[in-house]
Amino acid sequence: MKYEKISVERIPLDEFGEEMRKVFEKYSLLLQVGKRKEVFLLPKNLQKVYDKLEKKIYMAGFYAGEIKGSDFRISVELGEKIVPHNKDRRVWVNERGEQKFLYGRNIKRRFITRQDDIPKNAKVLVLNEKNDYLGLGIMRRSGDIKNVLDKGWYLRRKE
Amino acid sequence: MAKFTAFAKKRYNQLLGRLGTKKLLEASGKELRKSIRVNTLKISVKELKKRLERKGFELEPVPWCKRGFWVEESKYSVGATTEYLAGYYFIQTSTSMIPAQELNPKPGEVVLEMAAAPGGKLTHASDLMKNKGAIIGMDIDSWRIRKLRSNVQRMGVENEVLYRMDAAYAEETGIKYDKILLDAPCSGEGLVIKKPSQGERITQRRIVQNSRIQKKLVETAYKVLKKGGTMVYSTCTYAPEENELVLQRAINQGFKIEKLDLKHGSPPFENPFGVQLPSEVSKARRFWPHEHGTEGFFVAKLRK
Repeated sequence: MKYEKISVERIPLDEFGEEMRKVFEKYSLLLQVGKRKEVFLLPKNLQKVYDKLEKKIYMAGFYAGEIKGSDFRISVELGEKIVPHNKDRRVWVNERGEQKFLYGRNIKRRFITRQDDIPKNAKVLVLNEKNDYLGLGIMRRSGDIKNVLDKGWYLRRKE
Repeated sequence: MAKFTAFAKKRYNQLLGRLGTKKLLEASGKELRKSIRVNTLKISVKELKKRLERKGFELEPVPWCKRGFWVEESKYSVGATTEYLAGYYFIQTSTSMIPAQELNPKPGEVVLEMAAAPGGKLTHASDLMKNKGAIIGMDIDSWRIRKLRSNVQRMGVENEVLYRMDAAYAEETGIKYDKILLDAPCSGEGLVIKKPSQGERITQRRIVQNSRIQKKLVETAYKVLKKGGTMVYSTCTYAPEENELVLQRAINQGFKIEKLDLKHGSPPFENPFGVQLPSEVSKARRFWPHEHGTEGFFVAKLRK
């Protein structure tokens, strides 16, 4: 696979754009050339080695997400890097909510133990009570969380 | 009792004697103890231990790896906890924790792993390097490399570059490496304890083919390793042709065999099938199901 180095302007950033810019500061950005437009974060200390390498690589660095049309679909892992930079889009869920979410299901309002002041239909970072990042959701009008992506993907993918 | 081909059993009789073979076959039929390695890129050993014990896990430390634990008891499947999904630990056999530990890569070094999938050793090395420097992982198998990618992502590794290629051509990367991990493709006799059907696939042809591949990989490793650089060679098979005899070839090429830091394991064979080996080979270590309660494993440290 081939990759090109790009600037952050090439990525259509969504409502976590400000946080992503902060995360991306420490990295060079690589965009896969071809049908799939996957974006990887290359740490500065890996860059020297990367520049010396034969470029037919499979992947390098940290998988940040994929550009699909005018959307940037962030990876389940990038959310974890966004969390420390965010103070207004977080939702904490209890153990029951955690289990459901990691099974790919939505979370009922009653499983939410606390949350930031979040507007309806906004994307949210879902955490458990130990502050582990579980995935990304959308705050519905009802106060329930719609599952967008979650770490249970690693298990479901195996099946 | 585990099933092995008649060919394999005949060889074990020659190498271990009748009693040793009986013990090996019996032990190979037992269940392997599950083990995990803590990913300190994401959580401390102390914190994860506390969390898992609260969930009803009974953990016993693996003596040769500070980050390693045997899971003696657990209420939940080891591969389905939130901590697993969060990348706080890797399910890895206890012997597979040895190579990265022995290689001891440092932050900032440039490391090559020649058969990197599914990523247990690569993610361990990256953890030891504190995600700094570079680890180049190669694997030829497209299905296995997808698994490697998934594990790299889950564990939060970001100092890696992955190639889907035959590591015998590692010179094409144009880099000289500080350290190399070669957990070589092998006949997998030692895996019977984990995967019983493996014993029925042991044939002379398989051993000869693997031995040829291993020698080729060692030859390439010598070319791409910096002078003074270290390589850890390991397999999960018993055949001396894939272990001690590969080291003999490595010595002929210019490698020196170094003493391992490891205080466990048994000495390797000195003259398997009547072949007298250089004394240096005795610095390698073997693990046996009937002696150590682990999968079968061979490990050696080499210096250029």
